[in-house]
Amino acid sequence: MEWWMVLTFFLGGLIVLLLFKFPVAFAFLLMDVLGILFFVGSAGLKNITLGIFSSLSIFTITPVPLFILMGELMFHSHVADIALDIMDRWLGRVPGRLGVLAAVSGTIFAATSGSTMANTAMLGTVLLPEMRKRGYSVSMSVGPIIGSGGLAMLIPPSALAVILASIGGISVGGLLLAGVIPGVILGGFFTIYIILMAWWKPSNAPQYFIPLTPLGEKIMLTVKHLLPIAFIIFSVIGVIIMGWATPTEAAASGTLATFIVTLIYRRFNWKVLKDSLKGSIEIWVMVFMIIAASSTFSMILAYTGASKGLLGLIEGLQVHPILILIGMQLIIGFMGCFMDGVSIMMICLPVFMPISNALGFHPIWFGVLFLINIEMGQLTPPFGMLLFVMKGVAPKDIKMEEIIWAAIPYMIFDILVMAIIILWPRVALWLPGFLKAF
Amino acid sequence: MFNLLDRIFNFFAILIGLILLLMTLSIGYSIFVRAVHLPGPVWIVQFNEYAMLFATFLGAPWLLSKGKHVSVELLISRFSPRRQKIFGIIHSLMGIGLCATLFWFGTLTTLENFKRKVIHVQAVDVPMAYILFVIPLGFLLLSFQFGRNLIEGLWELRNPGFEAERRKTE
Repeated sequence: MEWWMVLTFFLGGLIVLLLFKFPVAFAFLLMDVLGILFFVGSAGLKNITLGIFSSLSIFTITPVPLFILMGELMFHSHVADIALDIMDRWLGRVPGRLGVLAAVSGTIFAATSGSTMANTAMLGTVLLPEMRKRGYSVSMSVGPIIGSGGLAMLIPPSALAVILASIGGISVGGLLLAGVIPGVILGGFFTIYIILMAWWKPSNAPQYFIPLTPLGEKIMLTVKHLLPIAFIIFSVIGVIIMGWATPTEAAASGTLATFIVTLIYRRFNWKVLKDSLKGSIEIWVMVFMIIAASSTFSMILAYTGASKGLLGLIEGLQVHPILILIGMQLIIGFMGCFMDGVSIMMICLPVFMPISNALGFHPIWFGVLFLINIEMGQLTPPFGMLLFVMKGVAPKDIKMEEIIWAAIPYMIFDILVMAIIILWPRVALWLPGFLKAF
Repeated sequence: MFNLLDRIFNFFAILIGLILLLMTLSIGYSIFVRAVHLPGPVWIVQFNEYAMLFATFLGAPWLLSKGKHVSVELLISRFSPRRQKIFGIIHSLMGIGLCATLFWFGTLTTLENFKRKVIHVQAVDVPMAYILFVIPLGFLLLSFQFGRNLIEGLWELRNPGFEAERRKTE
């Protein structure tokens, strides 16, 4: 059978199953079984068990549940609320201050949480009622929260970055660090945009009286309440940069640091632990079941020659590699409208990574672009995950259409940062260079 | 019967929670002993690798019982509730067939590894069958849960509102 027929069979079959709401993990498994029966025979089905074993029993993916647990602990313990209050005092009378607060704190909390859903839900629950009370429009309240909530995917600890690196054969530590600068740039763009919009249309974010806090008090409170957050951030990013720990060990030290901070703030109790573990297990098992199921899928694509055939076709194209890169990003972006990040990775990575390597792209650079695109996919209608998280925590009078419109400017910034990284790869590659230095 | 399934699933969910805590503590401990230049326990990396596999396959049936395995709503959400239920029944049937097949072949592989005394050679040598057994076990429990979804789906089709009532009482 021709390679393109094999590829059409697998991808077409998978898409049909997904469209009819068959759970993603089981859709992959069904295509695995059908593929093996068709191309290898029933004896090959025994190998699925061994394939699953080798895809999950790898130490490099251990940070995933730990990063998720960090985010869940931050969310359920409400430790972030105290830090928000301090940041709020520092902002003073800046236009659109609550929106700016969402963007700044969203960027900082992204460095303490590996889950975009936990980050968005946390910001939405804490900030949205206050924004509504102060007369902020939907675009100036929901927008900053949903935009900065997604940064948890890019800024370490990022569970999805670990999965992408493990499956794509990229350095886990390198990819985690590579997300820091683009994430901070995005946070900066969000902040500038919010200030400009609030200054241009003050009715979107009405000014209100804020009692000024004396500088001494602000410094005292910052030391008291923001240092613990900095301690968590250092426990993950710092220990990787300093070369003190591997990404897996950094995930454990970050989780332990979060436990310690919740204990110091006396926010740790049985309910927080139970809810955090439950939330973590749900995401962990769901994601890993997809990984287990899709590993055989990519092996079959390689075995049948479908991956090699597509690679040969792409290599033979007389077009600039950047156009192929843009084509791949458009496919990821399109899939982001309908699917979750892990599923997109599992479908695209077996095909895209060999193409990226053949075209000579830096794997970390390609990985960062992939991550930003998937982050954007969480905002794209009709099925962006964060749109639903936002709808869940927003007051009932806010319609889904309003949430989608509010998210659009932030998607444009995602595209802008992707363009910046394509033009200046050092934006993503500068920080991972330090891994070798230490 | 369904209560027994729930108890098994909940027991495994608690076990996974403990595994997650143990992962955090064990890796944290390995960082500490390295920092103070003491030899670290050799089993930590291996334990955490197996933990990934065990958590996934012991937790997958529990997640299915909660309806939280991710799926794409694009097309089905446009169908009438009755048609959606029919698709739910078809999914359950497909799920039973798929998971029962994978349980059967997974059991064969595990038994083969057991008979041939295949060892997973790592820091601590562990017989492969003792690790692999969790995969067919997970698929067996998944096929039971799909069976339960099928029965509930058929009952719901004949008695609309049954599922909503059940969830309310839960």
